[in-house]
Amino acid sequence: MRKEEEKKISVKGIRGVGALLAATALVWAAPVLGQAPKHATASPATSTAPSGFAQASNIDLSITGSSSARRPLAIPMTIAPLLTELQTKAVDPFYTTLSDDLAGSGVFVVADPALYPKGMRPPQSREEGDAWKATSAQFLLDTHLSPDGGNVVVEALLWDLSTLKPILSKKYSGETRAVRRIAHTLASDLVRQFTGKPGPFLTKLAFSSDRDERRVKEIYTMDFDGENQRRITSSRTLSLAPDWSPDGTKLVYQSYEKDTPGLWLIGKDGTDKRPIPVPTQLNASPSFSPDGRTIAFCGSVRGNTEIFTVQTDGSSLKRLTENAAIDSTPRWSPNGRELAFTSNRQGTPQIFIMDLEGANVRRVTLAGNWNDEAAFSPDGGRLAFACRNEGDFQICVMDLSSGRTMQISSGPGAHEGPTWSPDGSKIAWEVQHGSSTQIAVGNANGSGTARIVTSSGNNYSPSWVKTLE
Amino acid sequence: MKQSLKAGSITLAAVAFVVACSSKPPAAPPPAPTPAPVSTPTVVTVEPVATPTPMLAPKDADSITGRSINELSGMLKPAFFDYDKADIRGDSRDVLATNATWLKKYSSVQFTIEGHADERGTAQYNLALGDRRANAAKDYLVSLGVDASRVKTVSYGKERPFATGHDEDSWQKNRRAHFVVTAK
Repeated sequence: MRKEEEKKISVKGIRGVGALLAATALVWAAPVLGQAPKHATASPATSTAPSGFAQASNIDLSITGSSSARRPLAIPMTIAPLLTELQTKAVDPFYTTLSDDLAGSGVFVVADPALYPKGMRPPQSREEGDAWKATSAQFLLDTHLSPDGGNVVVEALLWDLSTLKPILSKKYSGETRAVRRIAHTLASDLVRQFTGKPGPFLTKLAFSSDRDERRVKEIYTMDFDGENQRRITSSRTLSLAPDWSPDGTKLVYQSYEKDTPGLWLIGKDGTDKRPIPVPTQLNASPSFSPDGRTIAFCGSVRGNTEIFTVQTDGSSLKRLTENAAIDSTPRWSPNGRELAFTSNRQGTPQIFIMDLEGANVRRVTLAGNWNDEAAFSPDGGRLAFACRNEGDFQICVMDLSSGRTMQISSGPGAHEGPTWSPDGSKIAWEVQHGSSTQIAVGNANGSGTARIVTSSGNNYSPSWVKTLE
Repeated sequence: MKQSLKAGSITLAAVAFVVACSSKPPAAPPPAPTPAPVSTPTVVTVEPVATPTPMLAPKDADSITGRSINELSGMLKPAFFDYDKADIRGDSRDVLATNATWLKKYSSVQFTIEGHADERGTAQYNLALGDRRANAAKDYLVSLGVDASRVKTVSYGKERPFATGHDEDSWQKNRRAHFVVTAK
């Protein structure tokens, strides 16, 4: 069993009314592979249960994102000793996190727990298998949790209900406090089993929040489901529009902490803060290139806003757009060769794409009187953006080859600033929710309902990390 | 005064001449001649020029002396804009002209123009729009003779609204170029 590491983040020097920053321990759960499943299968016609990492059986594993391809999965409550403290501190958060991750994944559809048979875990006969299949499930995720000093050990088996064979076997261990992370890791491993790449459940978001002080916005990071929210800047002024570096080690953002708003870099733990020296004004909406070397941003010269690129050390400043209109909000294409941006050069704010010389400018959005804040999907095939005709902004997703566009958000309030999860399955954005603005996370195909993941103060401009795990 | 003196001196001279040139034994001197009647000189009253001495002068109502920077910011009124526009419209031209007059009178004043936008655009677009508004106001003041080196501009987009309602009244209040004095 690999020894888990504990990371503690210190909170020196954080001020602000009711500063809420508590020391957070990030603990790595170490999945242990190669464990034989505890309960042998009982299919007479087959050989003994495979040991170690089981192979997937011959199922169609291609996921197209439409609900018809989602695998029906039964997730009964985690089995654990009936100790009250264990239930509250470990079992409930583990099970809830696991179910939420998988139910919201777009890869699985979770069968209704009200239909689950009692016991029969694992299913050891055709009848028991059929009892589970009657819930409409094709797969059963059986989990066990047990205490181990200050740690917990989680064992998970994924059963194929047609063959009554386990197709995945996992064991994790970590501090009790890290039980959510264990759930995220298991969910991610399950998604990888079916799609070939892990789910987004271990990824993080950065965003801007005004919760600490009036008229002040600071940069925060959090898990994609809203846990572990941590402040990383102490600017005591406006710090806005963070964007992750591709390797996830740092962020670029706009801050007003000097005379004039500027571009700043900061490590993901709040260390190594430094400005990017540029001669332009405004310096809004910075965006990291896919190779991590170049920042695109909206700069202003004598009151005219244009799209610029600059190296992270401030060298090689280059102007890409050249017209009297507003040109704003640049965002890199994942191929590193193009930028999407917003311009009102043809009347109303619309989304355009250009190359890195500022040439080959073409308009992308044709419908609606305001389209803005474009973000490319990780595979470059789709564009998410804030769209509006009448009424409030919503979030739209356009397939770039066909031009087909669908709205993935719903409900009143302004929905703005979309950002993609690195696996392309989810989008986070900010939405006016009641009298405050909060971060919402929804499926990129518009299925299901978006979840609000923040609640303290007002929270804006989310940026999702760009690599999985 | 001069005339009577003149008359007197002629008379005296005349008397002296008569006395000096006569050889007869001096007779009783003739009675002093009655001085010729002198007409009352016309006194022209000239209005005194009102040149107030510095000590006694009243303070200019718009003076910068004795006023804090915050108070001085209040001397400069905001210019307002139409939706999604940075053009200086009629009423704003008047406001900016008044501001320019004051600024040229007190040429030591340094100031910043903040550009603001209402809540309806996206946050990022509104930062760009605010920047245009601040600079449009600056350019107009410079065209009226205010030295550009005295002016800084900054955009706050929709980050720092003045009115928090969700109606045109509040939105209009937020679509502005706002003046802040930074030094006097």
